[in-house]
Amino acid sequence: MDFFNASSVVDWSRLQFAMTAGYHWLFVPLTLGLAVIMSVMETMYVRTGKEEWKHAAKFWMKLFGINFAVGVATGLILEFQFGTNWSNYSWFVGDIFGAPLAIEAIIAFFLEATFISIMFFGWNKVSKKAHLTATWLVTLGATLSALWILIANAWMQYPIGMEFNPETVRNEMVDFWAIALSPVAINKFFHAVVSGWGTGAAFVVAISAWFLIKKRHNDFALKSIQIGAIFGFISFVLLAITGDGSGYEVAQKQPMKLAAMEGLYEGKEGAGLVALGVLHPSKSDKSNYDDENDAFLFKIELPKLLSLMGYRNFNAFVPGIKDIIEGGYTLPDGTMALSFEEKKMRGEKAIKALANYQVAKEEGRNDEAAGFEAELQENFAYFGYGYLASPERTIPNVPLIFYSFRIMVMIGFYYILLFAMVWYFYYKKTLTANRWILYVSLWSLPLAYLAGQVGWIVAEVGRQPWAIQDILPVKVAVSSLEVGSVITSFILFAVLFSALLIADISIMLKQIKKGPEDTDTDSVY
Amino acid sequence: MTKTESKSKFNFFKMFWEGFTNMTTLGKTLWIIVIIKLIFMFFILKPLFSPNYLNKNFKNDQDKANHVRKELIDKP
Repeated sequence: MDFFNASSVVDWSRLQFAMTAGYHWLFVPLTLGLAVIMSVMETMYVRTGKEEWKHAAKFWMKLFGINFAVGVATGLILEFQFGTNWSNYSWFVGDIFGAPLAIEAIIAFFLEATFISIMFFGWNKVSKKAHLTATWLVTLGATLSALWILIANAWMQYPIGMEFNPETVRNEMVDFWAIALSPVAINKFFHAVVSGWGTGAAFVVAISAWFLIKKRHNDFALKSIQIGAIFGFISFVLLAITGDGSGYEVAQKQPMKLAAMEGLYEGKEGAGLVALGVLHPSKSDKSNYDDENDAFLFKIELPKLLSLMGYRNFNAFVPGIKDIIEGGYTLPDGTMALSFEEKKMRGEKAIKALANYQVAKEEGRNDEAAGFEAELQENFAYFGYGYLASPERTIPNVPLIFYSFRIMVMIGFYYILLFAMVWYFYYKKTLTANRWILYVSLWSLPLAYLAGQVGWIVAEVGRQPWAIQDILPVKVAVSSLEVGSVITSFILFAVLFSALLIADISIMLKQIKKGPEDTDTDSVY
Repeated sequence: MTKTESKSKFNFFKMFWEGFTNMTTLGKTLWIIVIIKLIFMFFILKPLFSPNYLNKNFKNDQDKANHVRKELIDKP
């Protein structure tokens, strides 16, 4: 099994998108999290009239502004790639992808951009309440941006609310609300946004801990830790809850992804959740999915919890990779799961029907064309399987997903504990006397970012081989480009994003070292 | 930058003008980054290295549809 083929347009296009999305997800969570924190601090200022809260809000607002300015529009580079590298996908999805992104640009971005100017320029020019409203609207705008992007991504995981038009070769939206209110979209939105909150909280607590270590701006740092630790604790608890929701949705709509997340090859009733484990190396070769080896060299399992998470029933059957390929088990809706071979046959029928439809239309045989269209629609749900040569092609990279998932969950629980401890020491007024917790808070910050990255690896690598679940595999979604052009753009995007990241970190560090004194002016900028 | 105590009628454009003209070094730096980034993205990256594949190679929607149909049917 090749992990990466250096002469493959598909692999380079995937790597490019992963790289740019990964970079983008370094900026976004901090924007989402800092927005809430600075809004809460400004609310404290308006409610109490205490200038210290205003200074604290302004300091974090400054860092928000740096991150926002450097990161803004980096998401557009992902959109560029849809048109360049993923043109088949881009055309195939029609307005389903375009509409949410257009709404995001028009409503969310302009909301943000309009009120951000009042937020930065409007101190002492508008009333306290008007300024506070502007700050909260900036937070709302940032959050709404995330909503529409995540609705679009959720549709890739669970395509719904559309009909395929063989004439235009596009999926046409027939039910906007089915797409917008898809359970996958709703859960993904809350989980992703709350992960941003957690990152913002981790950032605030880490930087505040640094100030306490340096014995600078103690009052500011303690106030920031007060808000950051509570907000962080709540965020990571909410992440556990929404994470459970994600697990449920994945079990229902993407059972292969769940099986990969758990290293589950043989399904079982009352399946346990693997807390820790080491996969058997033979399973890295996908063709060994049904060999005699145990999937694990070692594992610690929480009994029956996978069944509970996936199906809300301690004794529910959770299909493994082998079961999903072989079919024959009962699905949540009561129907029988089809085997890979059956899905492949239906997919091939759908592809052939598309070809026959076109020929019939061109030759004016409209009645026959209608028949082919009906056959296409009947089998469209398995369209993508017609491209897959073997059942192993349906299996994503199990080790990468399995370990990424565990890293994400462990960091999540680690931060619940860390924030609880920070809050405890703050409450007991012994934070500065226990410097070790300050150092731990500071040096833990990269873990918050790592959790976000591996979370997206689980979501997107777990979706493979699909660009659109069951309907369009990645290898068909890609444009017919020369691999050299993809490598060139990969290098350019890497240089651009690296430069932006370096700029972001260096400007932030400079302002952090300055501390909050300089915020006692009309304008933060 | 002097503090202003005036709460007189709010003028959005005046706020913008004063905000930009009184911007600190940090603000100016960030704006330069934003402008350079957007120029690079839209005038170099997009047209030269990331053009829309279908718009570049096909004249109209019918041709684009035909191309994608062929890709869907012929891809191995």
